[in-house]
Amino acid sequence: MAMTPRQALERYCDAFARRVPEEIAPLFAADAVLDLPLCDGRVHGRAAILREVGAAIRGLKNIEVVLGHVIESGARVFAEGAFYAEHVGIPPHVDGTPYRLDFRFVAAVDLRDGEIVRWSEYFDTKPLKPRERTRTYPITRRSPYWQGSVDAGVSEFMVYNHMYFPLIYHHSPAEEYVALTERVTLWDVGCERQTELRGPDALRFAQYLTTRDLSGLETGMCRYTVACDPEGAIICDPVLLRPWDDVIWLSHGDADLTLWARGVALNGGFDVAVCEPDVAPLQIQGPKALDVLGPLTEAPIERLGFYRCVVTRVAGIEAVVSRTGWSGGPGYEVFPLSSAQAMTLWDGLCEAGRAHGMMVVGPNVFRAVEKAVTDTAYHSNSGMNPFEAGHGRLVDLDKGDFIGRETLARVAAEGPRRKTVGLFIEGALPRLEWYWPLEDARGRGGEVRWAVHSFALDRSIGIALVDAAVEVGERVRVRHPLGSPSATVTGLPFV
Amino acid sequence: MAGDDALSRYCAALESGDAETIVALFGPNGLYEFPLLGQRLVGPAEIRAGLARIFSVTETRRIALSAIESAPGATLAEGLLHAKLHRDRDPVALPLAMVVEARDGRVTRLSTYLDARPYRLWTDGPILAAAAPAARGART
Repeated sequence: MAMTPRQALERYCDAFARRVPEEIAPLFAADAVLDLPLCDGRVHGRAAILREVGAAIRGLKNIEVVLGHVIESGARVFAEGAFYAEHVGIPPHVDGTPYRLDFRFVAAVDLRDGEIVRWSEYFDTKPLKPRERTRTYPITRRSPYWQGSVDAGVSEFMVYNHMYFPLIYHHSPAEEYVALTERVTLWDVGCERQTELRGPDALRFAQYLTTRDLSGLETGMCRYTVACDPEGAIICDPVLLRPWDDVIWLSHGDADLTLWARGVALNGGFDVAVCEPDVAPLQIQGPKALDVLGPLTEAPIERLGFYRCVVTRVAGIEAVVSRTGWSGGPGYEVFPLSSAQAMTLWDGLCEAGRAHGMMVVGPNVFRAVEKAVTDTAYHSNSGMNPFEAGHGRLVDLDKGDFIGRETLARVAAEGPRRKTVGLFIEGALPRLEWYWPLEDARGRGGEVRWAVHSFALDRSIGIALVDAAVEVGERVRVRHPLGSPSATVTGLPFV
Repeated sequence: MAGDDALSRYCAALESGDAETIVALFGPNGLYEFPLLGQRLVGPAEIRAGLARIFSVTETRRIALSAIESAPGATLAEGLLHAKLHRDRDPVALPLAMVVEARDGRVTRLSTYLDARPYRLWTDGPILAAAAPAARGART
């Protein structure tokens, strides 16, 4: 017997509260539409509805739907109700109160032949979202994509390389995670600055400045490498690009690498000019990245190998495109050769991405931790050397002299004192605002340097710097601002 | 007065700017919820002040209902709110739903459900404070 509208309504609410999207899909007709204020627009078709509902369910827990007035008439049902849930992946408030998603709503549901053909919800999202974005000051630089990020609903920036870095937008972390892992995302990473080495000695100087052997680096190649200080401590872990014969870019994290490189070059006897060029990258990350970027790019980037780059035009704008990124999955970075037309590039990508459900997001730290793709933020304030960071493979002690070589040779010979491990941490986590100390049963210490909810594993995970003797499988005690949960040491990456 | 009748009268009075007709629909402790005002209004004084705010900021406002369903105890409806504010260049059209509860011929609750997030609210502070002269006048 076909479902009545009231039955459809109640089954949907019940399956949502139990977090079972598979039971929701068969309720909808193939051509159904979903109007939900939290979505960016009307959602068309059963498959897309299931995707949206699935993402929403993934980002919520302890869900309760309470129906009040329910009025059924023919093939339609109206209902007024209340929705209660806790967010997953959004750390609690400073005092530990969980972030909640509570609201009252009206739903209007139409059926055809026992299937839902329209589900419209009405509620006010104003109290559910940040009221406004982080306020800024002129002393810190803006990305040339500033307006694009603002228009896309950015709510929070951090300062990175003396530039505002849009991190958090109005979507939930779960929605952004799904967009990154199943569709495509656009990131304003204009703060990811380049240290440009230009001249006959560009490659030789890059060899001296970084730890990895670059002797086989041909034009059009990229390398993930490390820059250390003379004590062997990591300054940053840049992606190195060689877009032209005499030009090296070190695409670096939050560190004054250009100042450092310029200082080293001044008295180093290298025939090289060091500067920070007007090159502000974007990242297009996710399985549909090629579908978005390919048609806009003159060069056949479908043939561009992993960690390769090409000088080309994107949306008619001169740019370097590299098959690199910070998602641990498929994606590209686009480096326009001037900021003058940056927003034209941004708008072109947004237009091309619309058909693929592209979402403007910040770098997804949830995915990065799962994939153990770290960043300067992991290394900073630690004195960590590459061996401790798990980057020993990036140190080529036999390549000739480079900054930090002497210390790193000694560390390699003696073995590092600390090492980087994964952690499965019990319970929900607060936001990591400073590194959390940890200790094992024998009193050996360490610190959690990254910690998030894993959407892939549906549990809390972290990356920690611990005593080198700590082994996988050991239990440790983590002390964060809201408690002292136990954790289990594990390997990396998590997925 | 049934809920659907009250709803029709409310929509007509809102469009014509007739605050007293709307106030008269409500019982003494009637609740009026309109998200663009940013607060719940209870009783004739607050509702009157809220409507004064609506009428002062809008050039025009009209609710076009596309469906109304009633049952004992409540009427639910959906439609569009069309409004043009003095401060804005362009009019807006917001999807909305409404719930009316009535008892003994008077509205006990009229709740409007719409997404106000894309818009600056129609009031920047407490309704009674914003409408202080009128409210004071009504009390004296």
